[in-house]
Amino acid sequence: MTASLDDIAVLTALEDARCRAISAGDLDTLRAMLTDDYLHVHMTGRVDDRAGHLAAVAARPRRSERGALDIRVYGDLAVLVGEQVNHGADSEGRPTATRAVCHQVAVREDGAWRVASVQLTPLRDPSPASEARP
Amino acid sequence: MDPADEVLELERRRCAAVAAGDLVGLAETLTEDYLHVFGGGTTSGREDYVAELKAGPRTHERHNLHVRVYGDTAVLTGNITNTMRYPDRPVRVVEAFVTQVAVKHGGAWRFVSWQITPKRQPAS
Repeated sequence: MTASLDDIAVLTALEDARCRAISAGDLDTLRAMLTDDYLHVHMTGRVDDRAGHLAAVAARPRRSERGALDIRVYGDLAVLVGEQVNHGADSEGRPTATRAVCHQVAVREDGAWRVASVQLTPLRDPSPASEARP
Repeated sequence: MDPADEVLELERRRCAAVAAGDLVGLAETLTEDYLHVFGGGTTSGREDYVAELKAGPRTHERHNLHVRVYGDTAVLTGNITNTMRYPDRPVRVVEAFVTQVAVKHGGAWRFVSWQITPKRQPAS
């Protein structure tokens, strides 16, 4: 694994921009930073392609925030893992905040990093040591 | 062999090692900096993950696997039936979706990360 400070800075900025685009509902900007073969795994385990993900963001506006990111770079592919909080509203308009761990893959094509996949797993409260971990 | 087929073969070896409780064989399919995200969102490294499988033997049946190859790296995605058999507890079966990243180094593919998301109905 070789991660230069430049790569880390660029990938961090890419993720900041992705969250801003989601929060602003800026679908054109969001589309431009996702690869054509992008896959999105929702917190329910449902899978969308890029068009499906963009439609979901349009249908359910949200504000996405990231915590500290663990970024690992393997040549022209990077893995970013960290907490994500999605702020939105339920069906009655009450504010919601959902915490998850987000595992992202970014790939560098023609010198530019784009996001190839996002998978979200809801964060449960810390489980007792005796609970099974799937 | 086609790179996508090589990654699928790696996953077959990993599943076989998990099913057999072959923790050494399992560790050989994972890089030293391997990162594992469990279904509850907790994360661990390779050593802690292997210890979890020692405590809770399981089988991993994979379905509808899809490989995207980017040079010497690859993203493997697909469904899983995760059947866990912890001692003195009922067998637990979890249907989920998994994303894995593999890297080819020194001619051999190994996994660098895994994230699993249990399937559930969306909140109404």
